[in-house]
Amino acid sequence: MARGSAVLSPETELGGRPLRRRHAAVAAGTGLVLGLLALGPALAPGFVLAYDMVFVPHPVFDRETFGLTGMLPRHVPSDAVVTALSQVLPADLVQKAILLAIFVIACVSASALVPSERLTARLAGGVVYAWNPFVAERLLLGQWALLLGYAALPWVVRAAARGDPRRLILSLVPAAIGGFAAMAVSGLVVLAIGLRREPPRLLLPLAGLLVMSLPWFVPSMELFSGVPADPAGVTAFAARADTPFGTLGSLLLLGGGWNAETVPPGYGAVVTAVPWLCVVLLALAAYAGRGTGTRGLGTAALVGLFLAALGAVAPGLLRGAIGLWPGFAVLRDGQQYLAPSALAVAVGTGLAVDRLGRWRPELAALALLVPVALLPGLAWGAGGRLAAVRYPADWARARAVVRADPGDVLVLPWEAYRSYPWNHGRRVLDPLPRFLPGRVILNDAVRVGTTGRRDLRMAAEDPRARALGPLIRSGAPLTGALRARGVRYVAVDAPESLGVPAERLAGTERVAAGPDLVLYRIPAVVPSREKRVPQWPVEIAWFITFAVVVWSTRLPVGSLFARSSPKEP
Amino acid sequence: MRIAVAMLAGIMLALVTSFGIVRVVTTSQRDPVVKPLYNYGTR
Repeated sequence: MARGSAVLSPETELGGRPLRRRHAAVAAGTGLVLGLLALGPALAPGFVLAYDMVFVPHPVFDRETFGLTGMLPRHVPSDAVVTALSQVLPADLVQKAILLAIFVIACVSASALVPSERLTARLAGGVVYAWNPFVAERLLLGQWALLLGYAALPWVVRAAARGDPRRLILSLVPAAIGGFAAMAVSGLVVLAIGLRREPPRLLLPLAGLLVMSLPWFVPSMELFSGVPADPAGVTAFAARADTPFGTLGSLLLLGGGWNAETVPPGYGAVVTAVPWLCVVLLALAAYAGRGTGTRGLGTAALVGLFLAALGAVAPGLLRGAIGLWPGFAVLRDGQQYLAPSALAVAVGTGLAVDRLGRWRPELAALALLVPVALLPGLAWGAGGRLAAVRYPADWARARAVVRADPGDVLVLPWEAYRSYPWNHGRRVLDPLPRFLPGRVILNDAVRVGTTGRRDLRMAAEDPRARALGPLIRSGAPLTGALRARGVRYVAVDAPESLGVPAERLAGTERVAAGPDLVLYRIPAVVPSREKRVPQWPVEIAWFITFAVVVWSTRLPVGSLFARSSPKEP
Repeated sequence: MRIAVAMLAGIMLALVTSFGIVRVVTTSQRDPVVKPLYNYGTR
């Protein structure tokens, strides 16, 4: 009788025994080693600033932390959790702990899902899940919040398969911290497994997903109808080929992210892409004859693959859908829905190594190295693309000024992303909105470069950025107009633009100036009348989510490590 | 125990190998993230 089983069915899950502590400890240690290997220079003192990954020293709670400023709450509640943790630990340490935790949780949770008694088989699944093109590209894109939910996805799979609401809530905590994108991916898996149960069970899973989404869902409901969802994003964020196998082949190999700059060094070369294709195919083939227990995860993986490919193979369909309802914009960056596919490949790899272990145990141990050997570009902070830096002293001086005399801040140049020299030219979402206290107005219209064509530019979402955009781009004097619209400061944080024409800011006072940032103060400002999201519904939402999480913790956290039964159902 | 030792040795080996490969790769290419300055990324 074959070892291992179709463990994801609820019947076999209920028969699961706790994962051996030794296995869990080894998996955690392996995840930690992988995390250290991947992050490398990013673990030095300072902050890692890469694309969407923005951490700042001494963050404070403000309305933006909770999505109350009229913008889409993309960073809720992840910013709130980071801010809370930063009250007890230095913020750069919090960042490093979170990044390492992603690797540890991914390795532990995925290894617990592999239906085998063999440590090597479990570890093989864990290593593939923690070290693959999906993790690499999303990490380089700075999407740590999504990866936090990704890391815990195997726990979500187990909990959904068992149908235990407490366990489901507890397993969703990392995704809930991650926020919208992480919950969307987890929701896909939960619903797919609920649908494939006999009989289908969707009510409780839906309720669990809703409760854990409340912190970002409630503030987004208040303003969703007024926020543009630019269909141009379909072209900008569609999957693209990063291997010789085309877009669909690249997605099958768990890569295919939209941003060519986040492909790890060396990834996609034939010499590594072909062996990696063989690994993925072997992993999928290992499900042959496993019964029906994995069909929930399989369904989620197939749907995820379909969503990932949608923007590339049927962009018109997606644009039309977004035109009908802006909520479909969540499908623009479809590659993130590959997470269940990555889990399916990881568990399949574990199954394959389990069989290999019966034949040649020493080869099974070597199989652990395959993911790292085929994707060495992720190592050492992806060849230095992830590295820690310190914020310039000019920034701290500007913060002190704004803190002493609060007021709304406008950030120039009128762009969302920066390539600061002090960050060695690495791209990052401008950190000033988090770094400075109070309301900071940034042009959140992102721009994506294309080869041989004009840049693709998405519409701004921040209502104040939309209102101020034409004025700022006009070249006309700014001072009077900004004063009338409640802007107290103008911060210029790109060295090549520090010399804003004096006539545009005539009448302002230069209150902080340095090579990395200049801050101008506008006198006699008329207070702004910004439409804000009501606070009390958001407070109730947080209370409900928090109360439900506390209720779920009556379940021992260790039960998450319960492993799958190694026996056939 | 033998598996754990083998695994540790293997991972250390991978670490060294990866570091070497990445150094070779990174020293033989220019950083693509220098221009343009304000893009989210490039397709």
